[in-house]
Order: sequence, then C-alpha cells, then structure tokens
Amino acid sequence: MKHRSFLARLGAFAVGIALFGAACSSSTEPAAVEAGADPTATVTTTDDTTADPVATDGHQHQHGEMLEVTWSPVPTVTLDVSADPISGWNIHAVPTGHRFAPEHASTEPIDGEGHMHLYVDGVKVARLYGEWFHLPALEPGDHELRVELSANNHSVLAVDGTMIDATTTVTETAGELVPMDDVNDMDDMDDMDDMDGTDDMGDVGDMSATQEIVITVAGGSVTGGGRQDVDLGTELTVRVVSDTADEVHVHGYDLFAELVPDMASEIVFVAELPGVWEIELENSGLALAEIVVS
Amino acid sequence: MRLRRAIVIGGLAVAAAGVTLFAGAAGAHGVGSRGDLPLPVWQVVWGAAIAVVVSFAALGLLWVTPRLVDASTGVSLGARATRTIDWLELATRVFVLGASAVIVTAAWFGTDNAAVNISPIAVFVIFWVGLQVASAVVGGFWTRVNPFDTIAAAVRRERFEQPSAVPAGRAAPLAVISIGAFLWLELAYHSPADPRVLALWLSIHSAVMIGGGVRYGRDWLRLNDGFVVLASLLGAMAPLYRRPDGRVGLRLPFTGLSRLEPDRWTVGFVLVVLGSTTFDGIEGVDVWAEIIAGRSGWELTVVNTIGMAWVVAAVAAVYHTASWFTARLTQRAQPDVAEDFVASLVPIMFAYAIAHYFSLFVFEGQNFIIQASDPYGEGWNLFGTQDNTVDFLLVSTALIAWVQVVSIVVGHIAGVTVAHDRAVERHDAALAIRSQYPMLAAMVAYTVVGLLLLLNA
Repeated sequence: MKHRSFLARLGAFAVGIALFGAACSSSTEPAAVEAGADPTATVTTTDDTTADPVATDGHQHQHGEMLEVTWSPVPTVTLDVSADPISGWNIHAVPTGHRFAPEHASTEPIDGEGHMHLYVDGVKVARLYGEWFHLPALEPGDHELRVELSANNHSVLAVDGTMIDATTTVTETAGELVPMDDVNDMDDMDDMDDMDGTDDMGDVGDMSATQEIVITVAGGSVTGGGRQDVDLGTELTVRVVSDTADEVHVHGYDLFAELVPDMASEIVFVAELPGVWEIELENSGLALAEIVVS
Repeated sequence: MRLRRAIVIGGLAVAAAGVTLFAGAAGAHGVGSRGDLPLPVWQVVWGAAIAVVVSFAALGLLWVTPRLVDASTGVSLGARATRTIDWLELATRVFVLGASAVIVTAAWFGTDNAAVNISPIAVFVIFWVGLQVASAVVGGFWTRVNPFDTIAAAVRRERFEQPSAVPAGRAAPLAVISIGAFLWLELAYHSPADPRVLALWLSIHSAVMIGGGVRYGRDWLRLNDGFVVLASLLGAMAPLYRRPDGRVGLRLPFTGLSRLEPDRWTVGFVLVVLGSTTFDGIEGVDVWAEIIAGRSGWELTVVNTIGMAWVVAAVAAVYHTASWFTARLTQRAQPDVAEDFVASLVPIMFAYAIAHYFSLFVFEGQNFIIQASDPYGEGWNLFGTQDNTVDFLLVSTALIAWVQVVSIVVGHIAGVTVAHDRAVERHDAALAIRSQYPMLAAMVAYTVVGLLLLLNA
C-alpha cells in the first residue's frame, strides 16, 4: 500500500515536471503578439542592430563618421512602420539605451544619448528627436526606410564597425486611403503584403446610411465618446485625435489604427455585428466610446 | 395587514429606485469584448409582470402540504445508466485534471497577452459558466471530478467513488472566502485577465484546497472549496442526480432544492454570489460608468471593491430584512428562517448567471476553441482551429434577449415554489401563506432589479 501512494505522488510529480518543461519552452513568444501588431504595415522588417556585412558596406560610404560604442548597455533600435489611415506613413522607431538629446544636437558626443536619422531609399530625409514621425506619402512602389542611431555630432553609432540601424520596406499604393478594415484578425498579419489599397467602401453600397463618431483625447479626458447608438449595417467612421501616441481598437470588429499625437486616425467599417462594443486606446486602456449596434 | 402593505410598498420602492438608477447594460466580467444589447422595454415589463402575478397566484393556488421532497425522489435509471455515467465521470475527472494542469501552466508560463493566453477564457468563461450550467443538469458532478478531489484521493490512497458525509448545501467559512476571492478577482480587480495574476490566484486556491483535501480528507473540500459548494447547491436543481444507493436518478428540475440542508454559511455564500452577479450587471450601467470614468489600476480596484461590497450588502440586507419579518410572523429566530429559505434563492442566483453570461459563453467560448489549439502561444495548431474566427452572429440578439428574460422569470417562479413548499412544510397553511409575503417581496425585488439591469432606459 505504501509504495502505491509513493507511485501516485511520483506520477503526479512527473506530470507536473513534464508540463512545466513544456511551458518553459514556450517562453519565447511570437514576436507578432508582443509587437501588438500593427495590422496596417505593408512591411518586411529587419531589425538588424548587428547588421549583415553587405548592408554595412552599403551604409558606410553614405556617411563619413562612425562612432564605435564603448559604453553599455549597447544601444539598439527597432523600426515599425504603418500606413497612416489618411495618407503617408507613421514611423515608430524605438531606441533602447539611447536617450533623445535634442538639446545637445550638433555638439560633442555623450555616451548613451543623441538622436536618429531617417533615410528613405538611401536619402536622409529627417532627424528624429522622438519615437514617432509622420512621413508623407511616397511615390507608388517599394521604398526602403532606414533609421540609424546617431551621436550628438551626427556620427553614426556602430558596434564592431557595424552601424546600429533598422530597415524596413514599405509599398506605397496608388490610392490615398489604405483601408484599416481589411484586417479583421491579428492572425492575418502574414497576409499584409497583398494589401492592394482598394478600399472596402464598395461593399457597402451607396444606399447605406453613414455615421461618424469624432473623438478627441486630451490630457487623458475624452470628448465625443460615450455611448453611441448605431443602426445595424451603417457605415461607421470612427475618427480619433489624441495628444498621445497610442492605438485605437474597436472591439469585436477587431479593427486597429495607430495614433500619432495630434493627428487624426480613421477607422471606417460597416457595423454588422450587433451588440455593445467598446472602442478604447489599446495601450493606455482608456475607454473612448461604446457603440450600441442594433 | 399594515405590515404586508409596507412590504409591498418597500418592494416597489426598490424597483422604482432601480428604474431611475439603472440604464443600459454592458457587463465587464473578467474577459470578453461584447456587451449584450439592452432588453426591449416590453420584454422587461412582461417578464416582471409575469413574475409578480405568478408569485401571488402561487400563494393561493399551490399545494398546502409539502410535495417537493417526495417529488425529488424521482426514478432510478438503473445499473447500466449508472455505469455509463460512472465511466463518463471518470473520463471527465482525468480530463479535468489534465486541463487544469495545462491552464495553470499556461497562466504562469504562456504568453502574457491576455487575448492570446488560454487561461482567462478558460477560467472566466468555460469553467465559471460551464460549471454552473453543467451542475444544474448533472447534480453534484463537480464534487466527483474536481482536480483537488482527484489529487486528494490519489495521495490518500482512496477510491474515487466515496460516499460523502456532508449534507447537500453545507458550507464552511472558507467556501465563502474562496468564492468571494474569485468573484472579486473577476469583477473588482482592475486587470482580471492578466494571465500572471490569474496564475497567482489559481495557485493559491489550488494550494489551499489540495493542502486541506490531503490533510483533512475529501469531505473537507465539499465544505471549503467554493466551487464545489456552488456546484452542490446548483446540483440540487438538476434533473440528473445521485440517489442514496449510488444509482443515477432522474427527477423534476428544481425539486431537489427541497432536500438542501443549508447552514448559516450557506446563506452568506448564496448572498455573496447573488450580490456579485448583481454588481456585474451594475458595472454596465451609466451611473456606475460615470463613477469609474477615468479611474484605472488599483484606484479602479478600490472603487470596484467598495461598489461590490455595497451591492452584496444591499442584496443581503433585502434578504435578511425579509427573513426578519418572516421570523417575526412565525415567531422563530431570524437566522433559522434565513437558512430555511436560502434554497429558494439558488434558482434566482442561477438565473442571474445565465442572464449575464449566456452570450459570453456562446461568443467567448469560440475563442476558447481557437485558443485550445495553441494554449501556450507557441504557434501550435493542435486541433486545426487556430485560424477560426469568432462568429458574433452565431446566435441572434433576439434569442439572447429571450434567454435572459425567460431564465430570470423561470428562476423566480422556481424560487417562489421552493419557498412556498418550505413554508407549508414548516407551518399550517394560513400561517405559511402569511409568512411568505416578506420572502415574496424580496424575490420580486431581486427579479425586478435583475430585469432592470438588462434594460435600457
């Protein structure tokens, strides 16, 4: 009898260990989930803080100076680009270990600070003092966007001769409006490349009713939100302007739009799912509105 | 007579307060993005009217000698059906143990994205709603398949089938605390779906229950695990049940409530669950939305906690006031009366749960099917469901509304009937009828408020 109890315990323990092991191996999560998904980007990103040699060669003769990083933590940068719902591209470049120091720009380098440079197709178009930047619409076709970390004196930061940068390719389409509502599901992220720029409004038909909800967020308070009745089948435009960078999320319909400070973002969709749905800022969790679709 | 009028007026006042306070309904229960549409006014009015009329008709028309205890004997389904159910329960027991392990490990080690991790929907939708519905159909099954019982049985080298010495409907203080902790996490805590928070709660609850079950025996679980107590209370309504000889029997729904032997902790338990579900409804109304607007984090938790405590207290106050009046009329002690009639709140408690969680179960349950293919967020697709999407048109809004109204009205009628049966068991017909007025008023108040919470002004 005694040993059976021991076996029972051993069995339970073994199951526990096996499950624990299975779970631990799961700690590397899919990047898509972490990145929270930018459903709009037509993008293939290579976040190469330690870039491949070919790229390095290409980059090196575009600028003269490089500054070898001798401090730690070694800075890195990631680049995330999404199509603006109205026009152009919202660029989100996030450095780590690299403080924005516009007050020291064009002066002596200081470890751990500086700014960033943005290149489009190898041409420097902007100096970045913050994570977000709006890039106006480009010529139709593919474009390479690159962000590099720069010291105060504009030297490019490098590790072992490889500059610290991140590159992304975007495809500008002929239309001005890139539909947010092509994307119903985060799982569709892989299909982003075929976004063709046709908008969904054709589905609705000209006879449908339309409705617009305009929401302004300033200092954490929301105006124009609250509870809004929407008739089933209405083509609804949700326009949000916020003083913070965030992401608008229409629940249920699962539509997202990046928010750049003080720029309007729009989500246009047909209200075809009955129920009460929340519209919120995804990162701060701030509730913007509730649509009562019936 | 004057007393009766006062009580009726009191009930109406509660209802009127409800009308002015509560407008709109969209729950905020742990998980889920969808709120139910407000019920049409006519449905609410009819529902409330039927509930009230039936309540008073019941007094005059129902039996004058107790009948439910006899009716609850039902018929035995025989040895073969019992064997089948035994096997099903054994299979469920194994499945539940495995699923619990997956959910706890997913909560701890899976992705911390609450929308992807399987644990929030598994706990707040599949388990919490599924447990209640299944318990109301197959009486007391959770007592026999819950993972703590399985572990305790294994460690104590006991057979799985073991007769219980605990009368149905008993609860210990820890049962109230453990169910209260869960409801607080679900309804008051600001980030209930955070997998790590859920993991912490799951681990604490499991550790306490496994420890207690192993140390003090499996009957300890039947008194102390809030979920087992809830399942056993709801199981008293179930048509399928275990007869004293161990065979499976079939009886009329709700009749088993007459055999519950509640104690004072059962009263607290039922009131906490009923009050919390009511608070869930109140979380969707405009007045509450204004109170919590702009609050987040622990500040939100504190406000929610106070709100939840108030609502539970109000629900409890209504019940205790009613039982106090009944106690005065029948010259009994108030706690005894409260214990006597708490069985009649069980169907109302269940009806509230159905009304609030039916659509959540139908819609978010689909997410569970999706997530089951990849419980740890590893990119697996075990069952090929990973690419499914939630069909929010699976059931119509009209059907949801009907389920809500019908469940509340049926729950109310069942509650009134059980209370009536209990009253004629205790007292002669004339006194029994008089003694029921306060309880009727309380039940009408619960039902009307329950309906109003589903109504849009």
